[in-house]
Amino acid sequence: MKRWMWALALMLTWLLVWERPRLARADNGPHGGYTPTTDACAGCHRAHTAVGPALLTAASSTELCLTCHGAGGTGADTDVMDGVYLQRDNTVESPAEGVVNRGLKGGGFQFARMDTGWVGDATPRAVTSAHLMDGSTGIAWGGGAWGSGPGTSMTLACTSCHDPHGNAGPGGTPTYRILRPVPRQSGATQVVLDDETPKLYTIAANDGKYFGEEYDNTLYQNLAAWCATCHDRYLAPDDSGHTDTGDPIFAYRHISQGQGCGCHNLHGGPPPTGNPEFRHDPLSCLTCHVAHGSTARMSGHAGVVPWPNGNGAPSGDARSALLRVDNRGTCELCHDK
Amino acid sequence: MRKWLWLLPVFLSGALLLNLAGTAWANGGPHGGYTPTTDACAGCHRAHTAQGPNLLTATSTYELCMSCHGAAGTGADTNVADGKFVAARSPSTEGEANTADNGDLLGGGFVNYKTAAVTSIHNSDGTLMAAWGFGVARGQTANLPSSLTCASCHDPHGSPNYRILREQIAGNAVTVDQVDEGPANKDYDDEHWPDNVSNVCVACHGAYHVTRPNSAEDNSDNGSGNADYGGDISTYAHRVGMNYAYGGNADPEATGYGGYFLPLTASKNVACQTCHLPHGTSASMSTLATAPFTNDSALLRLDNRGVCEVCHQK
Repeated sequence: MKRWMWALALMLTWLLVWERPRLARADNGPHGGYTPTTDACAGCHRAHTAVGPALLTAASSTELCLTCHGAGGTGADTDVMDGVYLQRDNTVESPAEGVVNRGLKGGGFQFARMDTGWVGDATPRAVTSAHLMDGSTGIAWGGGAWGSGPGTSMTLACTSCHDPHGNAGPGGTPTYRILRPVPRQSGATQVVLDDETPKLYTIAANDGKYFGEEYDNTLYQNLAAWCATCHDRYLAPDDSGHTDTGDPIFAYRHISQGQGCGCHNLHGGPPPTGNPEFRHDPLSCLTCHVAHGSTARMSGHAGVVPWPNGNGAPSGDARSALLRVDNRGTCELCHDK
Repeated sequence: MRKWLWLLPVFLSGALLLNLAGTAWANGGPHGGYTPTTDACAGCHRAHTAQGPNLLTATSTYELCMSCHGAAGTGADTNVADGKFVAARSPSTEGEANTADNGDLLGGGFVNYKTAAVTSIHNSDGTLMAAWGFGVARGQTANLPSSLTCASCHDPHGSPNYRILREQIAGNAVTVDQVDEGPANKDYDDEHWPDNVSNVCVACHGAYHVTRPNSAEDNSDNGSGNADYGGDISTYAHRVGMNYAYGGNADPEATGYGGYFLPLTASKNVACQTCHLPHGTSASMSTLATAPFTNDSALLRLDNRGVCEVCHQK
């Protein structure tokens, strides 16, 4: 065989061996894309010596997640506890999936690097509100049918929203952030979020400003529907601010999906008001909120807003509701009153 | 460039920023002057649990305003329901330096005024549509673009106008200069009106805005729309905007008549508000003062036609 033929055979072999797993790893890391002879199972499970339910190598699913994604983890660049993207695993992604030392789009569960004060300071701070992720129980505000009260009780862990095995979409297709089409305990109809390509885990702004983050339009719209699989009654289409739902708690609602009604002039209509820099078209839950946790501070009126069940506590910063900006900056930056 | 020239743009930028911020805060309370991280929105709005349109925390604009400014409100010293300034109602000290505690509000009241039940008001509960002289002749009504609420005239988000009056009312541009505005200077029971204070009335009652000299004798067609006669020369009307001394009258603000007084603008001019209270009055009307078209107290400041006599002293 001529030399070039040897070279061709080697190249084809390389493509078969290396390119297939790379495609299969579309969900990233050990999360999906498994071959019949995958080694990935052993990354998280033990058949006979597991220390946690579901044959996990950790005592709980969240503990297991944090062995890679926690502050001390080394298995993933996404440190979700500190809300920051690092270069600490063995893979050098190409293209890069984030800017090292920049805040994660979802914020963080314990700390985050967010300039919520809009003052040019994004030093790491403790979060003031976050989605539960340790398997404890809370209320998914707005969950359930109209008139069913403030929300539904749910137990929330990382795996409530994320499917660690990936391939969570129809036919085993990857989903955005390996999010489950039907989050656990939601009881909802599935909402499939197509994966992004290439992945980008960090915010666009280099100064820690989380408000004004851009998303793919279709993904953005679908994300609102996805959030509403648990927070059903927060999904508010155009005109919800002027239409009484009849629900005693969630009567009139800010639009959370769609393009707005134009009456407040963010999308046209006289007189011209609003801040064009933050014009959202469409708009989504993630326009104002982050998914994991926020360092936003609440004071004055913003710190004493009653919870949907009427309770006044906790108040102050703890009332930050995963907002991207202190107080009601998310209102003012758009509406520019 | 000389060193001091570099400082000039820095100084000017700083002055501009400070000046803008100062102007924006002139409205006071939660009404305007918002920073990018303001908490004020949460005082009146809810994004997901609102009880009224426009994401209000109350079922209507009127109810929301009254939650602070009503008889039982604790969010503002200005009790517009009873027409009183009550200094102890809110933590704010705005207006307290210049306004007497328990003093009668310049605008009157919506429920009571001077401790008596009102006899006529600008009904701002969202049910009133008709306005006298709104694009029609005096003595006739036409519907406003939307029903009357507090927010029809006042902009709860602040305004460069006096008393956060809207820059657009019923589709008409409105300018009413700030005179006593500023947290330390507000005076809620003693007028410090600009000369253009009538403009807020004109937006809805344009036909009543008669400024032509000798209007009581001259309603002739001026050939160009008679804007100085409210666009309506079908009847005669009293003039506004002139100095009180026009016609040789006594100063109704300083001299008064029989212990009764009427307010004037900064230049001692007569405004709509010289005779009428913007919110509501408890004036009583009897006998001849109850004739057709005067079948209620028409927000007048004084019983019967006291507003005529204090000036004209016939």
